[in-house]
Amino acid sequence: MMNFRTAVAVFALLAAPVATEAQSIFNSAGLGRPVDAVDGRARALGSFGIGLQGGYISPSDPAAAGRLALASAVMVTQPSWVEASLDGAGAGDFRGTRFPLMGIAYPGFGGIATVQLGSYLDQRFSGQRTVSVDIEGQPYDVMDVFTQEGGVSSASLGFSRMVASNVSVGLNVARYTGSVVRELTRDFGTLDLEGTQSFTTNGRWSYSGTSVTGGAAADLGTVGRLAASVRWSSGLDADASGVTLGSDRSFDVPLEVRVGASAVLAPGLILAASAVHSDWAGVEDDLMVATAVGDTNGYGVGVELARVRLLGRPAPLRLGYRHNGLPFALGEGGTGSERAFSGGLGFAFNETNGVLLAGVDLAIERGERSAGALSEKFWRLTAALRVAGF
Amino acid sequence: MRRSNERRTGLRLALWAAVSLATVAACSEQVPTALDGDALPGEPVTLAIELPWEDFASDLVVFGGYGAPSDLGTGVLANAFAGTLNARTLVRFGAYPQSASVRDTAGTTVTDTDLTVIGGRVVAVFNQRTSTVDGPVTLTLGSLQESWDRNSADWAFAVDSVGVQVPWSQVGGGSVIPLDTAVWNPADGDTLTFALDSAEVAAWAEDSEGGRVDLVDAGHRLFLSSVGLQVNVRPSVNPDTTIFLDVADRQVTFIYDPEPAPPADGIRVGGAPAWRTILDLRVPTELNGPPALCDAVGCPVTLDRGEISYAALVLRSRATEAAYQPTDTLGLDAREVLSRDALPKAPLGSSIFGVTGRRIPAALFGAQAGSEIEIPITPFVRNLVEGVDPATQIPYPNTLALLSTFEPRSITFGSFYGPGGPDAPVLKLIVTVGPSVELP
Repeated sequence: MMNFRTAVAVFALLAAPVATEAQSIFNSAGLGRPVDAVDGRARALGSFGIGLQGGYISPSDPAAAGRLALASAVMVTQPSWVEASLDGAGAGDFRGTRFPLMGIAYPGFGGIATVQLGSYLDQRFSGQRTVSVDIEGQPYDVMDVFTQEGGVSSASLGFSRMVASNVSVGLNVARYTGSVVRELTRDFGTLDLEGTQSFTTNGRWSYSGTSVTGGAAADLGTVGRLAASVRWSSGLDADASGVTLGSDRSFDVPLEVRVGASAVLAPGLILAASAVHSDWAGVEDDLMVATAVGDTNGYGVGVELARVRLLGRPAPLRLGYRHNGLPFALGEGGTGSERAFSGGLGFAFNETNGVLLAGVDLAIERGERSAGALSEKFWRLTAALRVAGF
Repeated sequence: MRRSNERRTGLRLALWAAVSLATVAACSEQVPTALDGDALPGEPVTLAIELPWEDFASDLVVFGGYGAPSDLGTGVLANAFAGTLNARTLVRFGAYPQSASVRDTAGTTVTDTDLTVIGGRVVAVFNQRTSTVDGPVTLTLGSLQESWDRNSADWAFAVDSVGVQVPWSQVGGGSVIPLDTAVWNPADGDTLTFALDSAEVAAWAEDSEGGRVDLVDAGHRLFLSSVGLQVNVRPSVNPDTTIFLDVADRQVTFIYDPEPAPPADGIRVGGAPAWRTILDLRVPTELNGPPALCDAVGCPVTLDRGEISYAALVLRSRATEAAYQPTDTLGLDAREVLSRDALPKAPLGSSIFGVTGRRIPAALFGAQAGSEIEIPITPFVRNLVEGVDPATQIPYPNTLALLSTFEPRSITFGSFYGPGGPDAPVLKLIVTVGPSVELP
């Protein structure tokens, strides 16, 4: 138990100073880059967080919580390191950490109630451009620096239960939350004029909206699991703050369908596969800046060697691959996609009678996002702390 | 078994430490930089606007009398400089040193309090760079005979304070008893020494009226960096030795004639006592031009304080009267006048530029008169555009004082053209106006 407490303390320490962070140039496209709120096991298996064995907390698989035997909680941290290139030439390195999922599940009303907070759209980025201004007939180069901070998250309440010995269903009702601050600063440092002060204009918007996710999961005999979920969203409303000169906006959020399945191919060998479909075309008309819009369709597949042990405890080993689309184009390059190979393991700090009371799931991904001439190669680490029975 | 458990515990902690370190490493954010210019909001428009005097300023007035020459702690000497200026330096010394560390005949250093003054010298150090002299000049040192007030003495009065005026017996410091005459040749260095015998040094002891340094040769103006007294003493513990001791306590000022008359027009800054120029400013908060601005964002444009990227008062220098023409850089400061009604003793706000002020070369008030000088006042103009301090709901002052960075700084002062002519000051604004930031 000392290890468990140490783990919780480390997580709390890491979570405190960092809010949502950003990890991709694709954050600057359209409404940002969608972020999957999945845990370390799903990441390692290349999964979209649906159709995996056992019970777990996942915003995109509401039925999975109904299979939890005990009150449970999960917290996920996800640092990543990114190298960008344009036409094969280096275009910058960056790194960041985000916390894509925090959730808690508690038995009640004949099922499991959940509270979850997950990332949805990552919008943080910065940019700059050099602009020539004419001062008394003399051209001067000045610098425009733009920063965008924030993103969209989803806070949800859910309920899930077994409706038959092999079938569970679940429903999550979520509110979009979060905000974004966009700030443009023109710096006159290059003007040889003492006393110049930079020009800054900005705006802040708060996000709101509702989504409902319903899902079901069924065991197919003793070896298989099949699950599906559908998420419907109202519009994503962005309300400008009182001093913001920019206008209020509303964006369509597409219907999202996920399916996933897993099967025990042999004792200790599990195959998992999942897919997602979401067409963002409807948001194109809502964007002021002409942006090509695509879909986030994707698939993922992975295997788990469940009988691996480490230090005398279960430490399932996982491998996976995942591919999905990116919804917004950057410039004229068209929409892109993300591909990643993944690996990872689980580790039980405390397990009783086959029930995990405290453990961690780690995943490491090596992947690439690309669209046209732009490419990002990334390492992404996902660490999920899972606790139960509190 | 116990050792095995400890090993496992250590490995688990190591696993957590690795994950934690990796997370912490990535916590030091490096935000991605967009490569697509379309991701940035629309470009703001930046342009320069010049407002003529009538459109931004009024009520210019020049006040003098701030500070006193004695505040400088230095001296000025002039004899018919530029045909008009005469200046003399007055100096008075305090108590002489009463003890000294002396090596006695046995070679031991002791404190000797039985000192015999056997002579001394007045040491004058000139500022060669700012003094207008290129060859040897003759100076005299005389002993003042009349009581004078360091803070208020001027050419006509030994004491010229509120309610008390005591004229010199002769203008220019009264009569003096000549003590020494010396020639300063700038080629030999910056120091000149006047010799004093023991009686003269004794006469200058505490409570005396000190001495006066005069410039004999006409047509020059000299600046003294310091004037000091060094006494020669014979210690009792080693009578064969003479030691030189500096008199630390001294009062230095200078008197001059004529005092410059207030300017008939224009702007004046500097001098000792110092001159300040006060003016009221107003800045249009709505612009209907120039066309480039209207084309970009549409007119009229209501200005916001943040849209003033740069504001400067553009002055044109004019030749200062030759007698008071600067020979050193003038540090010009600009400050808010917090209460115009209280002028000339109105309190001022903090400096708009900082300690050094705007450095203006001396030549701009002489050979290069007519040069344009920009005095950046961006924070002041931003306040004017905002109108009222949002924290206190008190209107920002719209009165500006132009003054030297330190008052007084020098007998010299800078002059600028005022309103009413082709060289009148203008207000230069660099305005940046942008479209509102919108979501994509």
